[in-house]
Amino acid sequence: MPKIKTVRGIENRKVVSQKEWLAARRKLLVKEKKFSKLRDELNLQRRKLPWVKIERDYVFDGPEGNVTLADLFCGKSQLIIYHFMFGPGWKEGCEHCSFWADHFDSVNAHIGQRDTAFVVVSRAPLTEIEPFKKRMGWQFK
Amino acid sequence: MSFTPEQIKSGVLPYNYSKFKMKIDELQGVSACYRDRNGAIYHTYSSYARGIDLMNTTYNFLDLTAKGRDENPDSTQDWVRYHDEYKRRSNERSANDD
Repeated sequence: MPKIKTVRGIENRKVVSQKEWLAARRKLLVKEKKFSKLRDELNLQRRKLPWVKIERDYVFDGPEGNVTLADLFCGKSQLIIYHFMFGPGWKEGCEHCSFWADHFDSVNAHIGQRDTAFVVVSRAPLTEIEPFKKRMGWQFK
Repeated sequence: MSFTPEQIKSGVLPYNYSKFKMKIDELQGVSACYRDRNGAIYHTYSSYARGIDLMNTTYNFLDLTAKGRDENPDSTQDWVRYHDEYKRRSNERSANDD
């Protein structure tokens, strides 16, 4: 994993009055709003990225048999694919991907309402994936 | 995202649109595609590494707290386990304390 710099611990925090706290909070809010606008701008630029037509016929082994890339859309016009690290012969899926995957089911219930399908793909055969998926209690495809 | 045996052997992998020095055969990532009315499919977006932080709700929650993600800077996710192992580990710990 790439190194991420985060602030550790809670050392050297000042304890102040409610009035002082409010002033500091308002100051941060200005920055937060600026960041939200910047993020909106970035999201817009992401949406405006050019597209690449997929010419290759991808076939996946799904719980209901072989499916094409088109099938994964489930009648929707958008598809999000998460590549989950689970190679052939591994006893368990990647621990970090599992951390991510623990959030997927709750999101999946909502993005389906926004013309978007979601799937998780791995390189391991389905027979190796399914027992692990069952253990983790995941419902997503 | 996965890599060819030759790429793994070289120890330099194309990841997150640059080269990444590591000897493993695959890495996580997310992609988005669009399918038009005629059935044509387009690749519209892909992201890797910290680009998928957005998909991690736990991090978004922790970012609201004083301690934040509070991770080891040299090994950020060393605290992460399979969710069914947190309880077992804490049980083991309290059993050892007895």
